[in-house]
Amino acid sequence: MESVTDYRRRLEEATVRPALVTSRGYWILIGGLLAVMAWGVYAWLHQVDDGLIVTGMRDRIAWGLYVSVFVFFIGISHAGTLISAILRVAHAGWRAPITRIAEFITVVALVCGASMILVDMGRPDRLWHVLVHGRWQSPILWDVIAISTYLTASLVYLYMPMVPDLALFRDRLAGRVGRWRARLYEVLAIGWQGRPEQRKPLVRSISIMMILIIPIAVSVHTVVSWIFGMTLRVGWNTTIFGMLFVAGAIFSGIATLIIVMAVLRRTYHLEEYITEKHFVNLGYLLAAFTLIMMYINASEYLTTGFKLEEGEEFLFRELFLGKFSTLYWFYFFGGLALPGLIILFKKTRTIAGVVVAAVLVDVAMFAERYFIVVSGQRVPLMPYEPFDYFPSWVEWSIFAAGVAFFVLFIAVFVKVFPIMAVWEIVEEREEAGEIGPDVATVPAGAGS
Amino acid sequence: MSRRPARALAVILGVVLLSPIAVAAADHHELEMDVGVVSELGEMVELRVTLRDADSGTRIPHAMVVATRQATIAGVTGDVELARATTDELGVARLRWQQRVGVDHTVVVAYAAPGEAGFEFAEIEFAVIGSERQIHRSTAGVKIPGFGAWVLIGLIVVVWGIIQFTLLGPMLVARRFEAVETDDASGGSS
Repeated sequence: MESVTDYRRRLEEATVRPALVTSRGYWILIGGLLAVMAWGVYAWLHQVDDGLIVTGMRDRIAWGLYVSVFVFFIGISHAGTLISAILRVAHAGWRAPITRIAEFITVVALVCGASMILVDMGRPDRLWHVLVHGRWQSPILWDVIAISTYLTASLVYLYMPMVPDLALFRDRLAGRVGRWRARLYEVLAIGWQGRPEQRKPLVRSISIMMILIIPIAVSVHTVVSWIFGMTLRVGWNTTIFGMLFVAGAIFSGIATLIIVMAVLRRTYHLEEYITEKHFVNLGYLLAAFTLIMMYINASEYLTTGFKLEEGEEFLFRELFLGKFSTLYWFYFFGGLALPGLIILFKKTRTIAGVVVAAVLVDVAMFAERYFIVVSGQRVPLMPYEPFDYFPSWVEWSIFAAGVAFFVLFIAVFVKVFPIMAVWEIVEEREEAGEIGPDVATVPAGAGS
Repeated sequence: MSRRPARALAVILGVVLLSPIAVAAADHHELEMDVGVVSELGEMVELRVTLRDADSGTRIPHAMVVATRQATIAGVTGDVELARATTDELGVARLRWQQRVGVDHTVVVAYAAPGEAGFEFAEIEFAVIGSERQIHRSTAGVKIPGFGAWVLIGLIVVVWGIIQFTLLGPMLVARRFEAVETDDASGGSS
């Protein structure tokens, strides 16, 4: 059995390596992402200059790609904290290597999602109005409060378990990185020495946060769903939206976590720590959620379809046979049925298979967000022709910039911060009996 | 005097002063409109239209009369139908609608006698008072004692308090040990 010291040394090396070694491909990636973001900023400035008329949105469809991206990003933010917290609460013995990545996805996705609302407003200077003129009775204000609370809690929940690893970076990278980074680790490590007196309040804080963050995360996506559900619109006027949004968020969150894990595992050679077991276990969660999503969808469409009011009939025709049918059936077969089947069969239940399933789920969930947001607004409220919405180049550019921002944030994070929770992984392996205490070297002939 | 009777008085005065009867003559028909041309925002307007033959003066029954006004919504200008009615045996049609326009405006009355091809038009000016009023008011919902925005504010304060507590606790402890170590180090060196 490998000793704790040897295992820890190897693990620390693997965690520190990304912060020290930078390939040319990394800089090319960063350059490409910055270029996409620059183009997105240009498009946004064009929008600020000319107004929302440069988008495909008009009075009849006033929420389009931006709001879809917002809902999608807020959804994948559940990757992290919620999954990480649930796995912690459930004492899942395999969680430690993936929790840090998951928690970071949450923070980045929340920032990206919230910025989309700023873009959608058209007049970013009016953000101030939310604070000055916000009404406590409005779901919009609830959303602002829920997202800002979730972002703060996620930052705390990301930071607390990272303190011992930041201390590791402080000690191991001293003199090997620039002054500002050394100072950053020193400040963020808050004098951590690993003493039991320091450890006790830290563990207690993590325990409190892992309980607290679950209702906060659930509330966030429920409140996001209420923005739609509390609007008297065909397609949105349903009570099941809270459940659908929360389940969809966890679903797309797991998928995003799988994709990011796969990329980081391959890039930084973390095969020893992020194993097939992690992918398969997350694959099982993904498969379970395909069934939950199917159930919620069936429940929603069957109840409204059974009554089939005039507007609902229009929506159903659009969704199942008309303008949105390609997106809908891709979502259903490509995003729910196929990923479930991939994970069901042992032959395809591999790392590659799970990653393919995750990519399908993420694309399908984006499509779902889009048709939820747009299709309901296409139902005419007065006798006029249904409006055809298609995002303009400005919207696509800002969307691309949002995705680039997400990837850039993660790329920078893995260079600056520890991507694995070293102390938690070591504890987990010790508890599992996979590594043991150090064996003292006995000099030859000592027993004689 | 409260504001509502004052507005009502203004309506009455307006009706008296600003010709209660408007007459419009077209090629074949004569239209007599009996209406208060001062109306109050949010109140019902009744436009009484009497349709006669322009030559014989005979009243025309069973004629369609439509009241419209021009409106611009999101840059598109068009006619918004306010009301429509058919003249009775005495050639009288009553058009009723709620006054939703907050400024003085023109209402176009279109009429078509049976057997005639196409509509003929007449216009009537409306002065509107009470434009500072809010027409649409949502009724209060179900009031549950003790349940309101303060519950939400209290919940938010508790959640943020817990987050702050969980963050500050370990930081204070860690800082304390850091300070002790610094003291030890300086004590040892002296």
